[in-house]
Amino acid sequence: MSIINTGLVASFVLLIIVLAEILVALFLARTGKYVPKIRKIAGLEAIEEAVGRATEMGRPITFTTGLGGIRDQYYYQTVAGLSILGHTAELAAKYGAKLLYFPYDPTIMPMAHEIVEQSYIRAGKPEAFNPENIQYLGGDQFPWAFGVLGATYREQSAANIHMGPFWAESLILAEAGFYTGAIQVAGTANYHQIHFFVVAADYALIGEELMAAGAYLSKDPTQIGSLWGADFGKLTAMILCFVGILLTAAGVTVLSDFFAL
Amino acid sequence: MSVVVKRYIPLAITFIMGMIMVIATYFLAPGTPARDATALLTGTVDVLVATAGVLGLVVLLRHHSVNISRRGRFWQYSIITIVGVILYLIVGLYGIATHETQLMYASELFSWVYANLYVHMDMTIFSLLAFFIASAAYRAFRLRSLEASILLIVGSLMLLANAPVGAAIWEGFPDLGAWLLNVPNAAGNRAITIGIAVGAISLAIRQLLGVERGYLGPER
Repeated sequence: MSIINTGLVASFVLLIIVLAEILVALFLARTGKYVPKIRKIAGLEAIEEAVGRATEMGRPITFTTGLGGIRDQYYYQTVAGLSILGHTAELAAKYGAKLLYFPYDPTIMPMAHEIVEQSYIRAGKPEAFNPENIQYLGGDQFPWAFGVLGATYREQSAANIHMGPFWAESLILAEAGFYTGAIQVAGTANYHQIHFFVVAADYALIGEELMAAGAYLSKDPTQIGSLWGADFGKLTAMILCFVGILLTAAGVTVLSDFFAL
Repeated sequence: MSVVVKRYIPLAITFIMGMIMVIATYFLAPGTPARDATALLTGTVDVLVATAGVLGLVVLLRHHSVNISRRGRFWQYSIITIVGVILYLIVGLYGIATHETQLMYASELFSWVYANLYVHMDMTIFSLLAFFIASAAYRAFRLRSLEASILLIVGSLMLLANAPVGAAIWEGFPDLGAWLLNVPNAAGNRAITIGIAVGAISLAIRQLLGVERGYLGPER
C-alpha cells in the first residue's frame, strides 16, 4: 500500500522537485550568494504613473481584487492582489490621492482595512486614511460588478486597478474605466479572462506576473530569489514535456504511465 | 498592538494550517478519521465566512445610512439599497420564523423574489457584456500593429468558424477554427497555465515560510 494517496504520486514528486528548486534559489538569495535580477514588469511599474495621474486630475483610484476570498482555490490571486493594494495605498497616501477599494468577499474586508491603514501610517499620513473608502457592495458577481461600474462612472475614476481572480465581469469593469478615460492596470491568473484585460486595459499582468507582484514590489532579495527558483520549475516542466513527446513518439510510455499514477 | 499579535501569530497560523492541508492531501487517505478531522478544520472557515457576512451587512448598511444622513452624492440610491437589503432580509427571516422550511432551504416567497426579481436584474447586467465585447473588439481589431492584425485575422476566422454563415461560405471554416483553437491556442494556454501553476507554488511557499508578508500589510 502506497504512503501517498492514490492518484497523487506524480503530483507529489513534481511538487517536491519544484519545492527543492525554489528553496535552493531562496537560500542562495538569502545568503547573498546569488541574487538574481528580474525584468521590469510594465504593469507594476505603471501603478505609480496611474496614481500620479489620478492625483494630478484630482480624481480617485478604483481598486478591486476580483471575485476572490480567502476560502476558495483562487485565494492566491486575491492575496497577490492585496499585496498590490498595500503598495497602491502607500503611493496614494504619499501623493494625496483618494483610493477606493471594493472587496467582493466580506472575509477580506478586515485584511484590506488593516493593509490600507498600515500603508497610510507607513506613508506618514495616518490622518488621511478614511475607512469609508473601503466599500462593501455585496457578495454576488454581477451586483458587485455593477456596483464597481457605477462607482467608476459616478466618481469618474482616473485610474482603475484590478488585480485578482476575475470572470465575466472583467470586461464590464475594464470598459467602464475606458469610458471614464482612466489609465487601467489589470491582472489575473484566470487564463480565460486574460485576453479581455490585454485588450481593454492599458497594462496587463499575465498569469504568473500577478503572483510575482508581491516579491517584485517588496524588492526583497529573498523573495526575488524564489521567483528565480520558480523559473527552474518551469524549465523542469518544459524538459518533461519535450522528453514526454520524444518518448511517446518512440512508443515508450514510461513517463506518461508515471503521470497517470 | 504588538508585532507578535500582528505579524508572528498570523504567520504561525498560516504555516501550521498550510502544512496540515499539504499532509492531509497527500498522506491521509479519504474516509479515514484523520482526513475527516482536517475536513472539519476546513469547515470552520464557514464560521469565519458567516461572521464576515454579518460584518459585510453592517458595513454596507452603515455606509449607505451615513450617505443618506449627510445627503451625500446620489443618496437616493442609498435608500434603494437599504430598502432592498432589509426587505430581502425580512423575507428570508419570515420563511425561517414560520417554519416553512429548514434553515438551509429557501422559502417559497424567498425563491419567488429570487427568481422573479433578482435573476432578471442579474441577467440584465450580464447581457450588457455583449455590448462591451463589441466596443472592446472594435478597439482591439483596429490594424495598428502586427499583433493587432494577427488578432483581427484570427478573430475573423474564429467568427466564421462558429457562425453558420461561415460553413455556408466554405465548409473548411469549422475545421480551421477547431485547429486554431486546439493547436496554437491550446499551446499558448498551456504555457500560461504551467507558468501560473509554478508561480502559485512559489507564492504558496513564500507565504508558508513567512517570506512574503504583503497580505499582512506593509511593515512599518
